[in-house]
Amino acid sequence: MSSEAPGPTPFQMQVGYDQEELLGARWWHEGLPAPPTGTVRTTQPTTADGSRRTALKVLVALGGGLVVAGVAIHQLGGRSDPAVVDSASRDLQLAHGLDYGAKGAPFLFADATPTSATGATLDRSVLASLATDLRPADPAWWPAYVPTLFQAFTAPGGETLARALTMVHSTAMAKAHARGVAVRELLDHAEQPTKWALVVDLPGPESVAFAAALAPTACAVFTFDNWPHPRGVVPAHLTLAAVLYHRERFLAPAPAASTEAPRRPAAFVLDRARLSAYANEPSRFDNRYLAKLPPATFLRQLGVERVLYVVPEAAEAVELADLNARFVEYRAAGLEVRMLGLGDLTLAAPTAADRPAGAATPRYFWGGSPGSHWWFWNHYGWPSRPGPVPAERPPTSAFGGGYRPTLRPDAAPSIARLGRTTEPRPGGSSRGTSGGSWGRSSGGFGG
Amino acid sequence: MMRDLFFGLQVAVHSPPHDPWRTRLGTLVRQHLHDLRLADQRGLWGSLGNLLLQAVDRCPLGFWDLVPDGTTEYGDWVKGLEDDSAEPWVADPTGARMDHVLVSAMFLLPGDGASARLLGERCDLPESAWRTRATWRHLLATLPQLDFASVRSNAVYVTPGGERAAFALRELRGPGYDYLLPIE
Repeated sequence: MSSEAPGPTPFQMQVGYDQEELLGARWWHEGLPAPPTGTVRTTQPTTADGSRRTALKVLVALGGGLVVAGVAIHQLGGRSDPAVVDSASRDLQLAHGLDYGAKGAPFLFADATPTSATGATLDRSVLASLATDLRPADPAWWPAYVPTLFQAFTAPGGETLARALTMVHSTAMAKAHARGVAVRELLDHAEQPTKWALVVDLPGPESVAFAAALAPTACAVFTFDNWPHPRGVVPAHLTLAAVLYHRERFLAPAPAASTEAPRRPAAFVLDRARLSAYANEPSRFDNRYLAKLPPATFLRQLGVERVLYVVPEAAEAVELADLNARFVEYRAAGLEVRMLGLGDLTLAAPTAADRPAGAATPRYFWGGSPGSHWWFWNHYGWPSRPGPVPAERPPTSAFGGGYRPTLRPDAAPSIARLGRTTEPRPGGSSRGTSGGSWGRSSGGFGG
Repeated sequence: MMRDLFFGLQVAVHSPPHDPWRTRLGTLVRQHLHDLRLADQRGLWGSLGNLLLQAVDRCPLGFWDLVPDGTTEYGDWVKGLEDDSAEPWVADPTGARMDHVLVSAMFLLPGDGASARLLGERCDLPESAWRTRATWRHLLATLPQLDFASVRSNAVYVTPGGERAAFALRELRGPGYDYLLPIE
């Protein structure tokens, strides 16, 4: 407030609100000359004639012109050039090399580290067998495994990637791993773990770190369905580097080598960057893709009844667009799909009962304390064995408590074009027809 | 005589309940819920402009408009917002994290006044820039520059008003809020 000396108050407050729904006021300047004919001076708040949403729709009409203009601009930008043809980006990489359109551009690795999680240095000889080595430890899950990323070394230019590749370990990965340890601890107390499946949908390297922490309780089922590109929209090379950092963890002895061994719950490992925003930018290559999760019948055959969808801290409580139809299918088939936000796992000091080894270092607990950690089971309503300390209701409500997958009509159109690249139609352009370098400096990637 | 000009903006700010920024916003508005002098108006909009500038990087969505003959638009905006006061606040039922607040500012100005001229100049932007964060900074920085002697009416609203209530971003991206556009 101003400390100006008392004086006239020309702005009369016509209406003011200080309530749960609205805070604010409207003023009228009494000192101004009369407004032109037609100016309406509202003196009382209007009576509500509908919901908050209905009332604010007045603004929709006002903003509609701009929205429509945006749509029109987008449509004008659509591809109709008969001189170009679009292809699957990976087909072009297979035909022309991993670095299609960016010959010689280096792969950049932030958070590179010379040693793995177990202290080993990188042995590049393992790259040739990576796709086989990283098959799910439990063979029951092999049909759901997507090895594409680990087969990148077989593509033209793969040897360049293999030479450049290093391991990475970022702060975000370490945090995701620590939270994964907390979830593994919970999983270890599940009464019927084989009825579980997790869908880990974090940024690629973090998904890898989280899944590594779940092993060996849960079996990592990788679903990375693209190849790295030096200018890729999806930084798949970092995901690959994160896999190498945790590789030994995924190679842990598999108890499910025979049909008699107890099955392990699957942790489907997704890269959340697969649907990253991309607006036909010439400086980036569209290596995005849609997630592949097995159908409900497959999960049912393996006894799965519950799916826990793991998302980053501060994510929206809704599945990504390419999972919408699949999750709705799961729900229709009687699979319970619930959501876990990593923001619900926070650091706290363990209790004496909760740290038998004597370690007092803060670690992650669901709900923010050792007691609330075990309330996880009450929250999700899934059976468990008792935890080491009594369960306590967390002070705040958990993320995504009311989440249930429902069909979103806008989900499918929003992902209609992914992982496509434009190139000249043979004979259709005066700029030449040989693929690979056409138009690279000024554009040509599609989205 | 020239018709009155309307200038309005509404912006969604990521501000979870108990966010200190939101507490300052609420305190500022509550301190001005009475008749105001010109100096009070300058204090209110100066502080509000600064608060919004501090938060502009946390604004995913927004909408602004300038209408030369905008009396009707001014009435529509205030009606739309003030109608909210009569309906109990209902939180988003999906379980989404509720951590956004809408801040709305509206002005009705004589078309031949200094403030209308200033807004006319400041809003003369190419369409390609309408949604950029830089433009939002530019517009928010304009609020403290207004000459309130040439403002006929104005209003500021924070929705929801309670500091423990908030919108889920999902809701603001959904039906009923289609007019809010991504700030790029």
